[in-house]
Amino acid sequence: MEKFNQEPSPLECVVAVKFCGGCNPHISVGELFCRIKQTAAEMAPALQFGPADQPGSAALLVISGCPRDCAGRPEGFAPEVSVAGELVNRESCPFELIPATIVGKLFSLVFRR
Amino acid sequence: MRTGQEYIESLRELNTVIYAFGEKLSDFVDHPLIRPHINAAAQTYEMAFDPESEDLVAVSSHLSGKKINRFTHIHHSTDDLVKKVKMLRAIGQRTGSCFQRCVGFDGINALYSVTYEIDQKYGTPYFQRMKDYISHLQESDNMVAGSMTDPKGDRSLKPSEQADPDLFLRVVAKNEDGIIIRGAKAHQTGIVNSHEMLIMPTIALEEADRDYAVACAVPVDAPGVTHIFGRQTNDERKYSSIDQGNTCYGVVGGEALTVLHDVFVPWARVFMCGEYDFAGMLVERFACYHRQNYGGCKGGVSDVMVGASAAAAEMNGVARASHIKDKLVEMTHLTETVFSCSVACSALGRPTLSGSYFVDPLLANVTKLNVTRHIYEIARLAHDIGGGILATMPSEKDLKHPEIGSYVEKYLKGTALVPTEDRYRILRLLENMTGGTALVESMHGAGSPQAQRVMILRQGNLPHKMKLARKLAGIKPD
Repeated sequence: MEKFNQEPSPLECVVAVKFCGGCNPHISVGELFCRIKQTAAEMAPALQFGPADQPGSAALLVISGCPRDCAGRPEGFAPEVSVAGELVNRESCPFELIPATIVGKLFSLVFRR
Repeated sequence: MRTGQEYIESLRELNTVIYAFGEKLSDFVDHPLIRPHINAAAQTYEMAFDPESEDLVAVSSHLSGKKINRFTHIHHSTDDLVKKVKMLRAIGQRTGSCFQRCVGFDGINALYSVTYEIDQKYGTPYFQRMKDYISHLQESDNMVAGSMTDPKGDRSLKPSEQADPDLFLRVVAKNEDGIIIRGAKAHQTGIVNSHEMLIMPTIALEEADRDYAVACAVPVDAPGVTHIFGRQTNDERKYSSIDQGNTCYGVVGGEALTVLHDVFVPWARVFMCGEYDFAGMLVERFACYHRQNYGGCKGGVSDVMVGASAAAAEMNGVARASHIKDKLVEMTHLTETVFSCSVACSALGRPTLSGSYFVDPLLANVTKLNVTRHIYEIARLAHDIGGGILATMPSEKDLKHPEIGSYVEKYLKGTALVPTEDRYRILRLLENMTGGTALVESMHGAGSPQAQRVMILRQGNLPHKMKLARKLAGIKPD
């Protein structure tokens, strides 16, 4: 797996995170987010995560517990990466692979635009 | 918005008069009978701050634009109505019990649209008062008990015909400052740990019952208000730990009989006073909003029952048996059925004259009628899977006893790798969630089944269905 080591300015690497609310989650969104943060710390330490309403965020990570992907999106955010159950950006992805896949996609969005 | 802890601390500032087991409670906040229900209600506050749940539990106010707790919100779209149901399921999954706050939530939504329509007819100032009251609730984040159910006395008689006129709550005096009310409200979910109560009439009324057509907001600790806390099946277990099952959140909502003896209400908190012709509309709006809920909250609670049943089967070593899987499928099917009904009546909601949104009344009543059956069936299947031990386990004191505890530990063990205490905990959770008070609440909460049947008959559009049949049968129209 590629190891990300680019060091952009702090403002550029904050990712806002939005959860769906969790009425009937197929995956544990809390556990998943912990794993995403762990993976980011190892693979792309410049990626930071903040609340959904944090101004100046470079990207939006939407985490929904099931494929309905019903989390509300804050206005004015783009681009985004979404997890919806075991779907990443609407493509099937086993739970174990989601953290690395997400970190890779976020890195591409934030640093390679 | 208040946090869960701020909500709990705010209750200590009230002078709520509560009696239970013949005694006046001096510290109800930490009392074992009450505290589980406070903990459950606190989740409605806490989850508005949790990033994982705030998408459902926090929302923007249509009055101030500020971020508020959804329990103080007025629905303004079908999306709002659907999110309400999802929110209730999410909280139910976390508490495994009633969290009580939906009743007042439904009360403010019902009164919001009805006061608008009363004003349209009579030129009264109720809608503006209601908006002011809702602004106050959104700002304070107070918990409001929805107080509709009167004791009702002889059900064959109207309020004004009762031998005791106080068996339905009524206005006994008016002056330039406000009104004085007398009566009682029964089965008051969460009222002892609320800040305020929202009083509404309980049935459609006629002119002779004009004094009973009253809607108003009253602090739960107002002078003249006394709460008498209701018993629950197994409530002495609240003084234990494992035997209580759901130690943190308890069983259902903690209901009380609330007596209001000559309680003064200022005009600013009066939302209906004498407009008897709107009592039926208010009851129907409230009932439909409240019946909408049951596939959400009971869906979440049923999720816990399904999980506990599956865990019990695993601990008993029968998880792979095909009949166990089949029963778990059936429980899941029933859970998703009630949830589907709640989502459906929300998705097919419509705007009212006030601009707020109302659920589809037929489907809301179908939701609740299904709950009166399906939760019993889910509980029956849970009993089937759990086994007779659900009803015969010795107490936790025996499990922990220095002399006989080892016997209980040894002989009530399931599969070798699971500690006996873990099996105890799951089975006690299942036992307490599936019996007695928990089931009766599913039957009668938000109205008894017959009330839903009446509404279904009224909304069922039978003439249209007969016309369909006549046409296909080749019968000429009259």
